[in-house]
Amino acid sequence: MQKISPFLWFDNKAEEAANFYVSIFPNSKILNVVRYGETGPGAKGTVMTERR
Amino acid sequence: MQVQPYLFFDGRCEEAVEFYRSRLGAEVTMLMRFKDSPEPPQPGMVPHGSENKIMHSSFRIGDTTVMASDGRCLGKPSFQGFSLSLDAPNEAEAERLFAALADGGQVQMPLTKTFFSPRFGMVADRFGVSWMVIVPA
Repeated sequence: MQKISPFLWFDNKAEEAANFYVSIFPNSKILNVVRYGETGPGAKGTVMTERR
Repeated sequence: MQVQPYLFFDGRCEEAVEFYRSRLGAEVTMLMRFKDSPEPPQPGMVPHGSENKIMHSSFRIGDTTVMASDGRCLGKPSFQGFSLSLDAPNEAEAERLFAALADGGQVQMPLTKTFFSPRFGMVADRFGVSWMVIVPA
């Protein structure tokens, strides 16, 4: 069935934000992290997508 | 526990609800205007003449409930820093949904094959709401 999920853009603070929200909500966890590589568009090591 | 998107259209909510109803098949489950409210809005919250604007609405798209309002009714909706990621069951449906949302809106990334999806694209609809249409890999 079709689903809509909120997707939040944090401009370099995605990891911090994800950790913050996971610390607040019971039974929450980070499912997946993909980081930008050498080619960008973000700096290497910054987070491209995370799923919770 | 659920997290549900709540969108503020600042005066264009009725138009938006109708757009999502006709284009995405949204089913409206609740719609309350300021004039229908059991309590008048607090002074200064909405401009005079907003009686017919939407205080609260709720609609279902697929499995998801989305809520929306005209909020302060100032005529300047602004949607920044987030997108709504919309699952499409197949590529043909993704094309249809993407085209429907792009009508009067702005394509940010054309629908295309990516390493994480057979069809993925980003579009801001005519109200400025950013959507990501995706066929799950």
